[in-house]
Amino acid sequence: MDNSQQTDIPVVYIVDDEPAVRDALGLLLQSVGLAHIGFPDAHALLAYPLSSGPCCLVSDLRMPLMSGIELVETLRKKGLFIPAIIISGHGDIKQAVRALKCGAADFLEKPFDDQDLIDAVHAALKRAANDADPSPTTVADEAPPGRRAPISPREVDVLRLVVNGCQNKVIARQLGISARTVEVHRAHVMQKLGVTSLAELVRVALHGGLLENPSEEPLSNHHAIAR
Amino acid sequence: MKPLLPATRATWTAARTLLALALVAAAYLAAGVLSLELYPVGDGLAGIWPAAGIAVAAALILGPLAAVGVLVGDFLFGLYAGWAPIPALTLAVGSVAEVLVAWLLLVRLIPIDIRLKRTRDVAGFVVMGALPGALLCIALRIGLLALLGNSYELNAENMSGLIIGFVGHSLGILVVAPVFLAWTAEPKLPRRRVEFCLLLLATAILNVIGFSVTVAAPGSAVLYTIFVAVLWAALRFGPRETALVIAITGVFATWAAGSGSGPFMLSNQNESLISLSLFLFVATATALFLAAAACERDLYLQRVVESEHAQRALIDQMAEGVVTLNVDGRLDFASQRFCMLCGKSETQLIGLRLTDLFEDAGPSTIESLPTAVLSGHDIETEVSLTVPEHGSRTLAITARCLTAADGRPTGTMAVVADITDRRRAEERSQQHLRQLAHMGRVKSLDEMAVAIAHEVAQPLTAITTYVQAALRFLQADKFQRNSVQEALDGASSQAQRASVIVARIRAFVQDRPWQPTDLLVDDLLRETARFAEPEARQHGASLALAPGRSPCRVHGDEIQLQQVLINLIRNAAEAMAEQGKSLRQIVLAAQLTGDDLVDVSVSDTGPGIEAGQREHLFEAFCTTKKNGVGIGLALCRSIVEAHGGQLWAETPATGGAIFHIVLREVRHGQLTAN
Repeated sequence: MDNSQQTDIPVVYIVDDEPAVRDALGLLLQSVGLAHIGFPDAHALLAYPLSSGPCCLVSDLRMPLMSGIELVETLRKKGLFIPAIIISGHGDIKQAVRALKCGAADFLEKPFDDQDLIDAVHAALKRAANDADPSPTTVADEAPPGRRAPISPREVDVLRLVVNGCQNKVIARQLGISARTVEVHRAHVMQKLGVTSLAELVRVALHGGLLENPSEEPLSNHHAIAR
Repeated sequence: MKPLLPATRATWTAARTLLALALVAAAYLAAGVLSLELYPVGDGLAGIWPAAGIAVAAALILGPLAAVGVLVGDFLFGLYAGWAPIPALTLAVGSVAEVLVAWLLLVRLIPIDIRLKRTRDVAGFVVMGALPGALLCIALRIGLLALLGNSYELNAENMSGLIIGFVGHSLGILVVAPVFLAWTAEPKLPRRRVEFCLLLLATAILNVIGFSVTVAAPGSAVLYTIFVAVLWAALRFGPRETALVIAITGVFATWAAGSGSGPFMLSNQNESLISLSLFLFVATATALFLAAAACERDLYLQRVVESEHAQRALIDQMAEGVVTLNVDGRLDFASQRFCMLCGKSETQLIGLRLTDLFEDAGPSTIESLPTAVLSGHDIETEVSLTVPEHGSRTLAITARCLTAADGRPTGTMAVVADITDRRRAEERSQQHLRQLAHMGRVKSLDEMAVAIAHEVAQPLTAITTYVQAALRFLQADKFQRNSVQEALDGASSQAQRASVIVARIRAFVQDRPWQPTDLLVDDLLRETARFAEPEARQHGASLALAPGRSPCRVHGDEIQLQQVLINLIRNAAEAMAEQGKSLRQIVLAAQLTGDDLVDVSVSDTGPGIEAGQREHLFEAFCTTKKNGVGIGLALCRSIVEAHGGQLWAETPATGGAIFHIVLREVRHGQLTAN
């Protein structure tokens, strides 16, 4: 992995405080012929002279000293728009939403499917290669709208609250419907979007432009009662 | 019966006093007349003056009023002896002075016990009772008669009369007064009456032999045979019987001297008198001192016996059994309680060895106990004993050396306590603690579930990724053996890591018996840190071991001690997370302090402990956490105390909190009770 300075070969930077995971990820990327460099923490990466060619970042979410999200933010502040894939072992929707909002390209839950990761890395590298092109690229390109069935307004309501990190019980109370109904709506949405995990759902919802304003505050209890 | 009116009673008392005084006067007169008849030495003088003894005894018994009786008795005697009334009264005044001086000295100044059972009473009586009074009496008589200007002129002849008077009075007091004093104080006849009669008979016979002219020639030493009776009386009876023997001897000796027979029949009257006086003085003083000494010896023996009885009673009443072993290690004394503990009688136990009774259950062997104790070591150990009726008992033995006055070991004394019930109670409370500790661990694990899940997810993620990578290498066009090997090696080691984590969790939540072992403190801290690190990280805190290794060991249950440390680490992590400061460090440290103690500490950079909380910190149901029950630290302290240690907290000036667990260090080769 000593060829990072060469601009034409894509490089994947892996940041994970867990050596075994870092090592395994490296091997996985190696198996598909991708060059990679591992770092035990965010500061080690920040201190490293990053490639000017196509590259992307695979980072653990929770790490001592600096988290994956903070790393992405710091890189952005430095003007380095490296597409980042955040991996978390916690399945925390709030964190996923936050990561994606901060500019992370993708969010994967541990343990992840190898194909998902490789796809995400390829997508990120493609995006990095297109960075010269000023037109914004979204992940939604991967999932053309024609492929999916239309989503009902009620399902959009549920999806918005899901993306905001609300639990089924809370969503049910806010929308004045039963928790069971929320589950049904959620399952329908996931089926229609062809996703299998919550993280994927959030990713598609945010990047696919399904919600006009996903950061809008969830409906307050007051509203729910007024309805 | 009609109660006496006060006036009648006073009259009655007065009548009794008068009667007593009349008796004193009569006795005085009678004694005077008798002694004059027995041993006259001319000029109306008697060689020995027993009346003085009666007078002094009367004063010590009745008080100074007795002097009135003495005055009357002596005056009447003076008239009887042919003195004119005035000189007779003058002589009587001398006797009164004698009586009063004796009373003053022996009742007021240095009071004596008139039973004469102590040598100090005898010494007081001989020195203060017999001598000063007689001296004053004679001096006063000479002085007063000289003032009257007649009869008693101081010439050489009368000078010897003066000595005769003094000696006669002194001996009279010495020989006669003790009989009255001792018999008045204890008038009951002695218990061994037959022997007492035999004693009196022997006294009479010995006196007849000793002082009769036919057997005892002048100057003969036969008179010393009387000491047989004196010794008999002094050693077998007491001062009053001895005084009686002496008094009888006095009468016989005086009669012998007066009648010109026996050993005192010397060349002239003076020599005879001096010989008699010396004999009587020596015999009386010796007899009285001997009787008192014998009495004291009996008294001390009695006290020793009583004190031994009291000690025995005390020892028998003790909750602990007491035994003594001789230098050969065999039982020579066993208290009632000990006999009860062993279910054997004292006679069955005497001569046995401790090994015949007990089996070892403590740190030192019972077989080596007597030898160890005799070489100067106090031993504390435990033994077990099986008694048919009581089942198996556990006994605690504390043994120390018994020494003679010169420091030579004479045996072993062992105090034996039945600690079976205490042990059972301890076991029960230990079991309770164990159950409580187990519940605490289950609860801890519940609370650490997120961190633990994350901890397990790490190797699982790694394994999955490794295996997927391996599969991809296998599917690749070009077979990359090394890469496949590398991926599978990684997967294998991560699988091992996962199983170690699972095993650790299983051991932690298992409900298992108390298993104390010798633990290397470093290992304990390292293992604890591995377990607690994910939880600390979950709260955004770092957990580190203080640098440096120490080889010290403690004795305890590994899981329970780990539990305490994990609880403290979690508390620290939670407190720091709640405070919200970015610097969150927990440091585990162990150091050897003086007195063979190991101080294991958990320090943090959190908010510390507020002064108000500190005193209630370890109380149950006291908590500062939002969802806490307040059992954690109370349980921690119970666990540490069950390990014989201490748990306490401090808030150093530099900030944060430090919890200290202080445990006793186990030295290499040191025996530990399991």
